[in-house]
Amino acid sequence: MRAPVSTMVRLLAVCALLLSAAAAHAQAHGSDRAKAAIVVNFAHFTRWPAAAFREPGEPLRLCVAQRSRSIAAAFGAHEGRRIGSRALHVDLDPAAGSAAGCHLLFVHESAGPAAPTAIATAGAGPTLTIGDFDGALAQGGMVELVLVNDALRFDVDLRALRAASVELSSEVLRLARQARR
Amino acid sequence: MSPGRATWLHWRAALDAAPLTLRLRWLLTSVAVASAAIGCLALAGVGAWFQLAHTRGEAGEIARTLAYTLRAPLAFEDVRAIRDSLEALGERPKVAGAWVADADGRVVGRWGALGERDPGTLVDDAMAGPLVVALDVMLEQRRVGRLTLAIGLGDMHRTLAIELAAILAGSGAGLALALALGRRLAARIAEPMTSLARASAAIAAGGDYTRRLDGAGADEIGAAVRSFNRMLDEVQARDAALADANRTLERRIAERTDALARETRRAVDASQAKTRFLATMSHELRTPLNAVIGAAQLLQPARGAPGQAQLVGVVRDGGAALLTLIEDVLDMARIESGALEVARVPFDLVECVESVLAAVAVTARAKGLALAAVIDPALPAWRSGDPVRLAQVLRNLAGNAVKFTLEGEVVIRVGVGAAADDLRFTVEDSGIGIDAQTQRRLFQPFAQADQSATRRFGGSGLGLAISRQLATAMGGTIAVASELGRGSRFTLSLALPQATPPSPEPALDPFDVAVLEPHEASAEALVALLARIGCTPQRCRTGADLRAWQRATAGAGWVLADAAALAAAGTAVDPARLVELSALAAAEPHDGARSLLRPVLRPALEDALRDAPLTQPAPLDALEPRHDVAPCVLVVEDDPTNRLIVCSMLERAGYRFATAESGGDALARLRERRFDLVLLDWRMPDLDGLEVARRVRAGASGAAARATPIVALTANAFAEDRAACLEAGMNDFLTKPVHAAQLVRTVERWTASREAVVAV
Repeated sequence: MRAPVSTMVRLLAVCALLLSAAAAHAQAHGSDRAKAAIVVNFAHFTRWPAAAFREPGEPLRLCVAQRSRSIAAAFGAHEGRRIGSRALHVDLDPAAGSAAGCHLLFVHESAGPAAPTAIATAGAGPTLTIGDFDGALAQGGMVELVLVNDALRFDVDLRALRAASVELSSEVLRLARQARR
Repeated sequence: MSPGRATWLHWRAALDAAPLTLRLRWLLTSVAVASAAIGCLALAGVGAWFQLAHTRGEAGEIARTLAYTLRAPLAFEDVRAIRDSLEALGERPKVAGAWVADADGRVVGRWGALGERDPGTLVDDAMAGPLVVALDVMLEQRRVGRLTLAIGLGDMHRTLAIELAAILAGSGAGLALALALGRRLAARIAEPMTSLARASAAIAAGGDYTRRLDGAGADEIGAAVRSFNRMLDEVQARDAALADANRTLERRIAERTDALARETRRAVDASQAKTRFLATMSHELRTPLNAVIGAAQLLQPARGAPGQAQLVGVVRDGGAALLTLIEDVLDMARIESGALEVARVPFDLVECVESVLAAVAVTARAKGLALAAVIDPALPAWRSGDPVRLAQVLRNLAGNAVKFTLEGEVVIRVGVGAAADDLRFTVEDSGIGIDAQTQRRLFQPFAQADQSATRRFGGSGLGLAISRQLATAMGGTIAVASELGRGSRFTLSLALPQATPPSPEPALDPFDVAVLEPHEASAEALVALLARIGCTPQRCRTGADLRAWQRATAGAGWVLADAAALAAAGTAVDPARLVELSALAAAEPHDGARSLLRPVLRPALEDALRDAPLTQPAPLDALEPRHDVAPCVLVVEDDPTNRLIVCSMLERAGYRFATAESGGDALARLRERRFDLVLLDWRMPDLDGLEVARRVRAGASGAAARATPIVALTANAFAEDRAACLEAGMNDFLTKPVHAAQLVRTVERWTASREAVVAV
């Protein structure tokens, strides 16, 4: 008599899990989480010009251009995290024109055609732009994430960085696969 | 007690007994070693601690630097970059291994010799190594990984070893220096004390207080040395003072002793000179005095005017008194000069006492005093002692008693004394007595009852002093008990041991004898005497008593009776069995009865009781020659007067005689012819009597003369003189002044046995 009862309990538990995951839409993939972690890590090693912030306690805005729920979930997990003296604010759905106020802009490959626009709008202000799609540097991005042997690496466009008055720490630059001038 | 503790105590004892130098050295050595060891330990400890802390600090530094470098590679999970960072540790040879773990604890990088090991198995070991330092790698507040470093301690150990070697070398050098210094210091501290101890021991052992210690420093030891030296000074000074005082004292004692000895010698010499002078003078005085007395004796019976006879009596008595005085003085001198000797020869007590009685009887009779000697018949008569001295003492006491008694009696009693051999002689009189005060100094020289008594009774006052001295010399005592006006009693207590009689005395027939004597003491004396000679005496106080006795004895016994008492008793007694007792020599016994003169003496009593013809003591002129051929006597005497007197006495007694004036003369005469007896004077100018006797006995005058009896004529009546006479070969001696009766009795005794002598 016991075996049917335990089997029933297991079935109920699986059903409950499935139901809850569907309801949240927030389950991120492992690679997406790694990307989010790397992007946030860049915030640690980046120095913005003083004009980038209107007031001292202003949060650091991380804008994410994407159309992936997994990515959104991965980045959302970093909301409120302390970066130096500031808190991290993750903007998952920035308006096309609002990218100007972002300190960090990550353009996910899921953004599709909107991606270059997003980079271009951001390119005017002191915003570190990171993209994980092929040709991100060529489209005006400053950092392009690449997958090398299952490990996330990155390339850096030093000219773009200089143009935006955003400095990347030498520690990070040393890790770059390739730094373009 | 534990063995360890025992060993410790043993070492403690050994240390306490060790010399000071050694102890100080040990002390300094142990202090130096201990301090070096402690210093070494402390330095090594501190060094090790510093090294460890330094190594740890260095490891921390490396870890922090590396962790910073690893921040970005860890954050971006760049394994290659991590490896590159770790490679930089190649510049750090101390790091033996490094491990980097990511935030999830996965090891993402390893480096070094120990790198293959699992960092979880590493244990931090400060002694052997490795030191393990682990550090979280932080990005902002986020931990991105963990760095673990293992630091090898080989370097630190090497450094420590070098450090330790340096410390040990330094400590060793310090120790050696300390020891060397300590040795010298110990020697310097101990040396003065050692020398002080050595010197004081040497001084104590040798008694040489002239030694001094040197090397006095300014410290306490120096002070002790100085004090010791000061003490030695003091001791030496005291020794010197003491020796000085001793010498002075000895010198003074010696001086005093010498002076004392000189004084003593002078005093003794003076005393001896005085004694010699006294003796010589007494002797010289006696010779002419003997002549005077002898001449007076010869003169007395001569017919002449009554007044003349009286004068001759005065001369004789005066001479006798003078002679007694001289004898006393001579005795005193002898006693004082210590020349007194006491003989110990067998003698007859009864004879001795009776000789005293006889000596004082004449005076007593003349004064009308009753005189008696009561000798306990139970006492054995033969005694060992000095009869001459005893007689002298008793004569003195009895003479005094007679002298100081005007009427009544003088009684001598001899009885048993306090001890076994002790005899008690008492002389009682009914005289004037002596008061208590005089009694105390009675026995000192020249102490008569009083000065008036001296005048009244005459006498030198030496008698009692001499008596006491003689009694003391014989081992006896003299005591006096007296009451003024009631008489005196002198008691002589003397030890006279019994002696064996020379020959059994001829026993008298055991007569029954009745004694009719009104005078108590005389009766007592008679009864005692009769009992002694073997008779059975019976005291009769009344005629009735006498008659009763006559009935009991059936008339066989003898009656000794006072004539007056017998007459008063009114009892008829057979005159042949009667002996009358009279107080006067001249009293005539009536009806042919025998008579006895009071006091009755033993020889007279024995004669009276024998059946033999009565021999009466005859007056001198009544003596008749009783021999057909009278014995011939050689009188050897240098003094013509004395020679004349002796010859006259012999002539009157009917003896023949010849004279010799010197010793040599005597020897010649003896060689010429045979004599029956030799009367030999002691003191003669050429050969004295002793020498003559010795030569005669040696045969100097022929064989015949060797057996001739020799009687000494001497003024010396003492025991030693008598012994000297007998030793020289003489047979008897007569004392001067020579009394006619005594002379005749002696000559008779020695010539009676001439036949026997000739036969020898």
